[in-house]
Amino acid sequence: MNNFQRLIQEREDMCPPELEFQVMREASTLGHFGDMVSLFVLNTMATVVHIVTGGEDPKCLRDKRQRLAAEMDERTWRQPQMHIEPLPENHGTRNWAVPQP
Amino acid sequence: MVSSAKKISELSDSEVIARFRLAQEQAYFTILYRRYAPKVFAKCYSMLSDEGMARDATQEIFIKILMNLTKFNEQSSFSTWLYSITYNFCIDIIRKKKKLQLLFTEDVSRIRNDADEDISDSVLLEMKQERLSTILDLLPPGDKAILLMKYIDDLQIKDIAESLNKTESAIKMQIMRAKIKAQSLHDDLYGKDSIADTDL
Repeated sequence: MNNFQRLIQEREDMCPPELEFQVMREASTLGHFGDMVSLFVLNTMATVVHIVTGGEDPKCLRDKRQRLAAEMDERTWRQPQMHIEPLPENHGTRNWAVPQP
Repeated sequence: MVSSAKKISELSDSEVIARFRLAQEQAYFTILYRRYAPKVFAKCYSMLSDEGMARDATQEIFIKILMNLTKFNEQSSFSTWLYSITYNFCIDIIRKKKKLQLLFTEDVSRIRNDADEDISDSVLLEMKQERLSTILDLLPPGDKAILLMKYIDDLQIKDIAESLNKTESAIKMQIMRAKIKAQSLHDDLYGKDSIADTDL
């Protein structure tokens, strides 16, 4: 090994070990961001285009409307719940224990 | 998980990249990082002459590699591609920091009268280590990059030319100029003292 190679080897040994943690953390953040973009941004953009241009609902909105329609019963969703469970007997009473001298 | 054919640590760079493209798992990127981070750091430190800047540059370079790994077309080896990005990244930093600085030693005749004479490689390879460190810091960044690529990375002239977007003849000329400049700096700093390290 010549002196030039030795010099560079010394500099390689100076590479801080904690740098790996920082790089991998940033890489992980970028990965999560990419997942969010692919999950949400594409559907958001399709919705915005639909709002601006009109026309048939994009697939993401059609899917959502079908899910909501299946869950809701139009006759009852506005009416408050009539059956109320009775309160227990000791509801609202407190038993304050008096400390003994 | 150990590959049935090879341990993960024994996979070549191409194999690691292929698995990363398939699985998109960070573990494969970690393998590449551990293989090359010290070398990238050493190059950044040699180019930028500052440990903090070298650290930041190393981090940015590896993130850049991660973002572009799927586009790497394997026309060259992964290490050549990585080092090319490293040197150009550092040159860009220096260019932004010091706008008027020359990137390469330009006119040999200003340094020596016998500019046609080629200088032996031993000018650099056998120079005393502490002097070499000082002289390397004083060389223009383009010269540093070329010398590192030739004498440390052992790259072919054509690979160096492609990395720096120059012709092969320009690179050959620049290597000669860089060695002459290194010797001239040595003479200015240390007189006509022998360059060779007699402790070798």
